[in-house]
Amino acid sequence: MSGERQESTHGDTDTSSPAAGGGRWLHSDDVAGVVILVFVGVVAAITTTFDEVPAALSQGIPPEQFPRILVVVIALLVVTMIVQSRLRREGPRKRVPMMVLFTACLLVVFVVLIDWIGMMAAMLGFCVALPLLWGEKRFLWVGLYAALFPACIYLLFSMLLGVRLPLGLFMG
Amino acid sequence: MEIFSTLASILLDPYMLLVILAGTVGGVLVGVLPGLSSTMATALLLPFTVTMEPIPAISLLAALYCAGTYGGSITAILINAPGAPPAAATALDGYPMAVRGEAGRALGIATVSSTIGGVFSVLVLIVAAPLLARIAYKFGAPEYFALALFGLSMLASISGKSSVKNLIGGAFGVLIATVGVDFTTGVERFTFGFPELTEGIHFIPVMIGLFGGSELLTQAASLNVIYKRIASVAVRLPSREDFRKVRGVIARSCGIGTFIGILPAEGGTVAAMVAYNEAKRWSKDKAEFGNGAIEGIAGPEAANNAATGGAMVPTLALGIPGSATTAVILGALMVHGLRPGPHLFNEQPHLLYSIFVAMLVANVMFMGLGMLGAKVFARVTLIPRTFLWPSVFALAVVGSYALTQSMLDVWVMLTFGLLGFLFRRYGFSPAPIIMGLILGELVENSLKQSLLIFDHNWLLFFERPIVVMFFVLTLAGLFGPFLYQHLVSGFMKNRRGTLDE
Repeated sequence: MSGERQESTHGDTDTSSPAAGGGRWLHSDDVAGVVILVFVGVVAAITTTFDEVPAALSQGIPPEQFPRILVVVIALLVVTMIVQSRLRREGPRKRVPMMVLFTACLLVVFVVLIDWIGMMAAMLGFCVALPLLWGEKRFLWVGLYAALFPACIYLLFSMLLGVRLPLGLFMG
Repeated sequence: MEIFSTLASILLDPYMLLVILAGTVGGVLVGVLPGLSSTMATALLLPFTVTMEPIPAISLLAALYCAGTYGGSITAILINAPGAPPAAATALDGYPMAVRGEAGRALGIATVSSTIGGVFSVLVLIVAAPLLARIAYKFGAPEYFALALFGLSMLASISGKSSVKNLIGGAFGVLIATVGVDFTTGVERFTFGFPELTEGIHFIPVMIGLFGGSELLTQAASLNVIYKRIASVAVRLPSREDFRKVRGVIARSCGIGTFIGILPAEGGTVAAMVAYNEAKRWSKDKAEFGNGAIEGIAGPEAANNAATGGAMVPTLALGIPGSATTAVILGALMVHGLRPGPHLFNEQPHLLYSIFVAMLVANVMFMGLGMLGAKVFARVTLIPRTFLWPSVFALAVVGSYALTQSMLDVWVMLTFGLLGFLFRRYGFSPAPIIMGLILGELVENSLKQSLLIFDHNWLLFFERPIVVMFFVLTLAGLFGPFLYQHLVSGFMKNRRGTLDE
């Protein structure tokens, strides 16, 4: 079955096997649920900091009310999700490969560098770094790609569409 | 009659034909590549279309949508990896056919079924959308609130196994839509002092991040996956005998796909799965399914393409997206300063007929391209992922930036890309978040307007028959999947009990 890659609707866990991990105390949905509950708690707290509505405009729903309704709805759904996950047996969670973490770091570095060295220079670096990180060994191809792809982007966006791409702190 | 004059004007306009051809070729290409979906491609392409006139811009995206849905079948059949989620069911029988040396026959059936499904749904769109718009023209704020709520409730059944997670995603999307200045009071919400956030979070960087950024990280997690390719042969038109065998399946699947497409939020993936099950249920030779049954290809392919036209019905007539890709198209309409919904039929009839014609022409074009060039398109999968995905992310960065030329949009895209990966890992699909984000403003504004009209008397909602109808449908949408699961498990238990006896 090579070449098959199907996305599980329950994330990266094996929920099909009743034997696997049946006695686990902490379910993966518990972690997600707690994070979401903390998030909506913070959102609810932020709604208390909204400006007061002038008396002339205060006849409708106050601006903080709708987000608060959503916070309650999300919290109720999260509780339902946690209860549902308790009724389901769950297998061990697959670890996230380190490559994902490295790739995520590279994406952040790319965006940070845009402000410093400009879009085109940062993109050139990214077009070299990511293929190499992912194990590309054809260095000549990497070089050609890193030179040509940003050039095409520049032609398309800067020349044809008239977008002023960021030049960075030094060039700008 | 305007449809015929628009058809003639587009067929005689080389620029429009070129735009539709570009959308169709681009659609088949992104459909072919596993991981790249038509939703992601339309989101990535949207910033490019901002500088175009509205008619060619929307026609380009609509053509890409139609062709992208078909393109997924090529890799589903040849490498057992559906290029797009709606083609997942096609792989079940397409790949076994390819393994036994019938790739050309399988591709031919997929191409013809897709075209019939697509053309049928566009014809339904041409008839149904104006009728629905005429009804919706009488809708007030309470009806729109109930309709948007119904649209959100349908998220529960996008994926039957994680209804609650889909609803959480939808509610999270609506919450994101509250960022910015409250339109009735002028109070800033969740802007944290950033002036760029006063107009809210733009949905395009969110879409690009959720679909493009998160997929790049998913690809990073599966770099060791090697696709086993079946050498493609020339595509063959279905024989008379094959066509006789699948014509009933195609006819049923056209109806299933169009109906499911019309339901808000339900797209081609659900339609294809339902059509596959129905094809199997009606078949005399059920054992053949999974081993290379041609009905197993014709059913899902006709249905997922029929869902494209179906999904455009609520998108254009009501301003409620029928699927994730139509949510992007809806966004494109708004970016071009157009107001999707019934008013569009009065204000921009030529634009609408152009979209209909573009979709019709795209369906015919991808049939030609598929019959002649499936072999060539299949070779696109040979592009190394080490070069493809850096290009996708670089385009995502530049596309996000180009919209308002603000780095904040790039950060929004990156944040949602990283979040999107975590969402997927914990079983949350990105599509409901986008739906919620698109519908969020409509839900809040129509609720506020309704309550002003009703003088804060919530009970008055129940005095309007259309509102009550949508509320009932909302309850069905919310609890239907749970009830269905309960019924199915009960049925299976009974069946096991009967067999034991």
